[in-house]
Amino acid sequence: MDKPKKRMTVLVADDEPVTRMLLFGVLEQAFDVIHAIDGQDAVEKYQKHRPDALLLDVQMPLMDGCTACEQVRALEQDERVPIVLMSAQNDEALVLDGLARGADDFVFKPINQRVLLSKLRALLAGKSSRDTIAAQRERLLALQQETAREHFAASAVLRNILGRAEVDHPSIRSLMAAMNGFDGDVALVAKLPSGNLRVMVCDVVGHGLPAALGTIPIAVLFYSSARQGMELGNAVLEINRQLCGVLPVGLFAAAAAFEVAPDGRTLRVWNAGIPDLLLRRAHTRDLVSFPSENLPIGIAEQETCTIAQAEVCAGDVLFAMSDGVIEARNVDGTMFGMERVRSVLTMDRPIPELFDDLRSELLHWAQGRQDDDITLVAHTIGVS
Amino acid sequence: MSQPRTDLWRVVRLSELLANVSGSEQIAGMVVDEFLSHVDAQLGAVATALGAEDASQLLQTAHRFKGSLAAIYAGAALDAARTLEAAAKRRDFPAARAEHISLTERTSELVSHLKDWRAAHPTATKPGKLHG
Repeated sequence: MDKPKKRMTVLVADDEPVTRMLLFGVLEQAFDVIHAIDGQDAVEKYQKHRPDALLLDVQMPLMDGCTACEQVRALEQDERVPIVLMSAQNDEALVLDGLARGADDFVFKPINQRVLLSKLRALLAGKSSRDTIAAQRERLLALQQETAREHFAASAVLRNILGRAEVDHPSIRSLMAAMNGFDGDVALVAKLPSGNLRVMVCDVVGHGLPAALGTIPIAVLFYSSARQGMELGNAVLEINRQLCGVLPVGLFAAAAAFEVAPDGRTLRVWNAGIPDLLLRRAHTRDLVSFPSENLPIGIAEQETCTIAQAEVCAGDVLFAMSDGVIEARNVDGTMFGMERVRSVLTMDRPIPELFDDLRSELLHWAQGRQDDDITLVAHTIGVS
Repeated sequence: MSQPRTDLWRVVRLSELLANVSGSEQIAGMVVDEFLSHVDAQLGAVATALGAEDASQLLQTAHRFKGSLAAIYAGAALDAARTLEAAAKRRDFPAARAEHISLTERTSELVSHLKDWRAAHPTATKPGKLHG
């Protein structure tokens, strides 16, 4: 059974007793009525009873209606109670003064019941909407605080599972910037039983906590396959196969993995959906591109994958980046773009400084704005 | 013999009072009773202020009585109260005294009509919901 709607309360202030009785008669069918005999009494009774609306005569002894209106406004906290002033004089200056001092409307004597009730109902409907919004705001704040606590806990768990994205390895430089508290990008580095490094860069679709959670199975599978010395192709196929069973529909990851073969001269690159990996030669300004040739992982099981190869020598640097780098926008909304990346990486600059050059260009371009997680990894061949 | 409608209308417009309280004779009766219980005191306060030639007090009491008459939908008595209030604002005591005589006569007529109406429309006194 629905709860009966609580009747609203109107405080009526008029020093004239017959007028008070008349107003009681006008209002009592729709509202509970509290009466006050002057402005000061009205303010005191407002504080005591917190009526839903006030009807104040302008001309009263001790404290007039406009002053009482002003004082009630000063006492209000979160709410704004509708206040209607009454007067026998339809005087423009009086009306303007009353409205300036906080009244919402005026009625003129002799009071017309239908006009008064219509005005009060309209004002109270507005108050009701404001009260609803205030209550919803309170609930949202509480929800926000609860979410922040959950995020803090989740963040701690993720940190413990993933550890530091950039391993303390002298061959690796990295820039990792999450768009908000949780990073859907991850850079993983593992030492193979052969002693070489295998690096994987992943960008789980979306950002925030759901994307960050997607990085967990990827990290676990990457480290496990690396520990076992699994061949690169088999490793990424296995990671993909297991992810298809773990990630929900709609969650997948663009990824790339690379390693230098035990001979130290062959670079093997698997790219599944991230922007081109770029190999800057140590002794020329050439760039070798490794575009995506595989489906992102977690979408569908694959029987085979494509791994590109290139001859490398010590000092060559391989750059891998998430689309957050390419799609970083400046104040005009223009993307950083792959051409800009290539332009920086082919500058006549010392190789070891190219990572810092690219990072500086990117950060200067974005000016603190960020629409996606950003990952930039550079691996120098031959550094151990 | 009942008063012709036009004559009664000149004295008090009870139909308008009833219309403004949703036709409730009970509430209209409460308003009439409230007026009748205060009329002598209010008229007396005007007379006292006039006798003392206290312009501020005269203005205040005339204004209050005018409000009371307006609430009861008085006719001629309300006109007299308005004129008296205007004289008080001007501090025109001779005019105020003249109008006071008119006000007293018309109020007496009004009270008589209201008592007749009340006698013809007895209603149980509604438990007062006025509270503060």
